[in-house]
Amino acid sequence: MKKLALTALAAAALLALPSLASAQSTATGSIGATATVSTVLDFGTSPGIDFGQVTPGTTSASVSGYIPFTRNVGVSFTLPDGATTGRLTRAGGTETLQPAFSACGVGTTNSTISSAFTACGGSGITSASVVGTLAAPTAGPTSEFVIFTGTVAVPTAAVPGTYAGTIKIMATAN
Amino acid sequence: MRAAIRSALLLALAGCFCGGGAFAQAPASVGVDAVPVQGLSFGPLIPGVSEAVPVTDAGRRAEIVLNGHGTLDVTLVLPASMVSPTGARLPLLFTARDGALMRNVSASLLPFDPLNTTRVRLDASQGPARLLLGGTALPSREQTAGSYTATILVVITNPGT
Repeated sequence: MKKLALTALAAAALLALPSLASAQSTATGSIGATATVSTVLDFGTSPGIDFGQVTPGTTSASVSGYIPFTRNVGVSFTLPDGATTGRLTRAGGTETLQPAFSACGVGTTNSTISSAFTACGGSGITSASVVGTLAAPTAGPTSEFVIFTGTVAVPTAAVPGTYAGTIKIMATAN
Repeated sequence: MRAAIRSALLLALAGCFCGGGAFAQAPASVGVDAVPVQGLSFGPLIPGVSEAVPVTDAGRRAEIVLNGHGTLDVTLVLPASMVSPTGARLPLLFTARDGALMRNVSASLLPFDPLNTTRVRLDASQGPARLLLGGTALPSREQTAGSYTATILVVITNPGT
């Protein structure tokens, strides 16, 4: 009886062995892949705004200027010079003229504003004032224009000369 | 006759312990540890400009250390794209030349086709091997800015005896 039991156990063990030895086993792991698509936010070159020749005691004609920019993100615009945005200073002197901007904002062409800023400078505007925001484009980088339209009034006592200045616009990616 | 039976029993039990031991180790039963040490990093991409990470680029390629011994079938489940948190997709491209196996740091790279299951023989006496993977990211011109991620799955199978 003892002999029979041993034989049965041995047979069972031998039958079980092949299935264990040939069993496939699997291990899995994972690796990450990463990338960052860069933000595109670039200003191009502006042709400037030329108020032309202005006779003292008069106001210039209304003129426009623009600066192109390209972006693939949402943007907030501020005017860091606030109330003195676009102030003109006489070459070789310290006299200034402050343009008045009647319209400003962003357009898809360089002549028509489709998204107006809430202010174009002037009193109450600080360097931190956000004057306009744009949502991120849904179809990749897009080219647009910041447009300013305005006049400059020249006092009768203004010193003759060439006056020049800069409209500073800051665009911050949202 | 009784001695013969006892010998057979001992051999069988010994076989059962070996097989049972390996079987019980689940993932380790393939006789290898696969440890990801470096992800595949494409870095900053410009919309519309594809970026390839060669398998020879030690700083950006993916690396998995294979420790162990034996014959293994290695399969990579490669993603077709990376995904941003907002769900935008950035296509990926892998070719047969994007994989390699490095037996040790001083040895030349051995070809490893990441598109197909590849049989690898590990020899513990030679130290760990490294599975390397490059690839190409294909951002479109309209690709939304932001971070993108994907997961590459590594499946290691012991083909059995």
